[in-house]
Amino acid sequence: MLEMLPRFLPEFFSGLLVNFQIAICALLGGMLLGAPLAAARFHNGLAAAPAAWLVALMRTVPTFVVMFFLVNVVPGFHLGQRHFAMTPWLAVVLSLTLYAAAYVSDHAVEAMRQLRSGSPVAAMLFVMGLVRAFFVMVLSSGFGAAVGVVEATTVTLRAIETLPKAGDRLLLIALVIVIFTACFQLIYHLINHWRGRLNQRFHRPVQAARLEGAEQP
Amino acid sequence: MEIRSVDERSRGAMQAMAVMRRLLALSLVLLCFGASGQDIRSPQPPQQPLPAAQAGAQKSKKCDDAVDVLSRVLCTKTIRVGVRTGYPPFAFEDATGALQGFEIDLAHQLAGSLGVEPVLVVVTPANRLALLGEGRVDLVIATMGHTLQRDREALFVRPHYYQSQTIVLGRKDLQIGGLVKLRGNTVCVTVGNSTNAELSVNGARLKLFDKASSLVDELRLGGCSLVAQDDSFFASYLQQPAFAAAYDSKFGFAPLPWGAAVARDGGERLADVLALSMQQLHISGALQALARKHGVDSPFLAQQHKLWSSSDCAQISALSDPACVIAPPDNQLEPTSFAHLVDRLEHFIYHTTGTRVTLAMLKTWVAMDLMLEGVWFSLLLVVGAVLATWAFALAFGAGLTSHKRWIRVAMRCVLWPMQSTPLILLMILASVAVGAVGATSPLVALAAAVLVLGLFNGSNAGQAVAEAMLTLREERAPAQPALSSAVYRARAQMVAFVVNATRGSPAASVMGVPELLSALTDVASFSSERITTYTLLLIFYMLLVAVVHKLANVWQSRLALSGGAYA
Repeated sequence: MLEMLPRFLPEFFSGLLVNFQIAICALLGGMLLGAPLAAARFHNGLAAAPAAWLVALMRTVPTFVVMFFLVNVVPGFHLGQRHFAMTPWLAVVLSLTLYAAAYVSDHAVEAMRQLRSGSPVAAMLFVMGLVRAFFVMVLSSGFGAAVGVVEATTVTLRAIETLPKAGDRLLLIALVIVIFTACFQLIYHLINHWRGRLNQRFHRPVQAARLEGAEQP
Repeated sequence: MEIRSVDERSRGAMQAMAVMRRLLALSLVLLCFGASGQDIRSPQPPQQPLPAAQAGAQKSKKCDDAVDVLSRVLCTKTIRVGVRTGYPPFAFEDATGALQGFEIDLAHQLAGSLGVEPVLVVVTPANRLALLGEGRVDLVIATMGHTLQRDREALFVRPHYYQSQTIVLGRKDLQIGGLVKLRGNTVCVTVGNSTNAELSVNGARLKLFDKASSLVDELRLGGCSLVAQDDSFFASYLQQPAFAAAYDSKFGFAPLPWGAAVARDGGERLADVLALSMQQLHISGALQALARKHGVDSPFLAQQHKLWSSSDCAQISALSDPACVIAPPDNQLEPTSFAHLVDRLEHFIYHTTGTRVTLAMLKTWVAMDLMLEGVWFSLLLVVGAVLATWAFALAFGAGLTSHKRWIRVAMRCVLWPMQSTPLILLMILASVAVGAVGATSPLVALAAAVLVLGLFNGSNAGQAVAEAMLTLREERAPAQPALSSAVYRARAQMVAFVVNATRGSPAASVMGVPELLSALTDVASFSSERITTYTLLLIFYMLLVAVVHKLANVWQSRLALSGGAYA
């Protein structure tokens, strides 16, 4: 197994780049779709009920099945003058976009409510939530392996198939899990660290101001 | 001794060939004589300006009036042969645009045996039988497999000139012994291939593509490790040194004889004469020579040469002898007893809504069984995943807040990889682990999938419970709050991860769990219908998620109502 690592690792990291690309595109799509839905829900106008219904529908959509649905049923679509063929890559992006849109909508509504009630910390937590959602989508983009997107999981799967011994296969998967765990736990700890610092930066002055206000006659 | 026996055999074959040639010439004379007295029918004018029509324009009016195809061919001294293009080495255009290939040469040889000139008409798999039925071509030699179903549409010339089979092809370093060894492996296939049913019944996971060329692209890009397709399709690729060095055929199955075909209406005598010619081509080894010329690797032709050269089959009467000619395979799947009602329902939906719906999963027993098994496994999977998520959430909640440090550390060591690894990779890990101990049944795969879904979602939900427990301890110190109070506080996260487990359950298909996604993908692979199939699949899973969401919310509401007991 060791002799294949020099070939496997560069391929794996280039596959991981594809996962990040998918997550970036899905998050951008989710923000484009989710922000207007959040605004509609927050302002509680005529569009609030349909927006809430749409978000509820998007929450029930299983990403994995949507991906297969798009690949097999939707040949492509037009956006303005441009035609987009439904490639497996695009199918993964669009299926994750639905998840991201529901997430953005839910958390943006909450952040706007907190902002209105004078809590900038909660609004900042929205940004942290987006970062967390982004990494969740990086992991979920591994679903692309099932429809033929060549990303980190596909590269791993391909390498596993070349190993005849089950022990070597398990070792390789364990190595990949260690790489994923090290990378993502580092990222999560950084997120938590930043969140703590944001809390300190915004929460304390707000609390101090409230206390000062309370002490005024 | 050996040389002499070979000489004797070849001398015998030469004698047989001479006899056959005489018989063929005699048959032709008799048939031509008979053809002069044929009925005359009003001509069918061509409806579209196809190449076939152009070829037909050369004929005289008198020749066109002949109902019998052989009479018309002999009268015009031309035979319009429908051939394919873009299918090397069987039929393709060379650099000058001229048609070349095994089938093209065969068309010339058969025309030569009739003493007429071939007029090649390019056909496609979609229109070859229609053109034959409409009389726009006299003969079709176009990579056409002879099946019992096609016997209703055309008259196949027997003996067959080639036999293809579906082969499973993959990288050389992969070792796959046979159909039964495919269980759990992903195989890329083209939609509509009838042999896909055989692959799915043997436990292969199918990945669908529209075109055969996409299979080769995916193979090269790494999207597919194994592909299944007709061996004739891969013949030209395997002639390329780079391709042959990287990939090889693992095994073949579902042999399918290829036949030249003539029209059912009026083509009987042409079929008889061509059958004699084809028999001669086998006996003389001419077909084998053609195969060698075009790099077509076919043990079938060697076997047929031996068969037709034998004393039992080297006679005209042998052309209808079941011991000599190959029976066409029946590749129609057995329809359900209510298939006609399904048809009616489809028509009703179309007439009332204008939407064309194809319920392929209800029309054949294979599809129906796959679907029912899929629904059953999906329900089991979801119930198992929900319960496992619940159980692991409690276990992680308790473990992460345990007063024993080693338990907390152990739980954290499991939690971190669960939070940082793609679910699909965890599924693959479980699949490899299960395979390593030799357990490959669908139920074992289901149990492993439930475990993975439960661990993946339960660990995250358990962390929420643990966080809730820590806040409760801070608030109520020095009292020790119960785990149920922490669950009450983290109930929203619990619900979210239970729903997430339901949403993620179709991913178990990568482990070989025959749930509905896997089952309907198999159905789509041989029924050619995908729009209705995948739409119903999406609706099924959305309903399943909605039901679980509803039930979880009911639980949450009840918990809130009895909140005083927990809070």
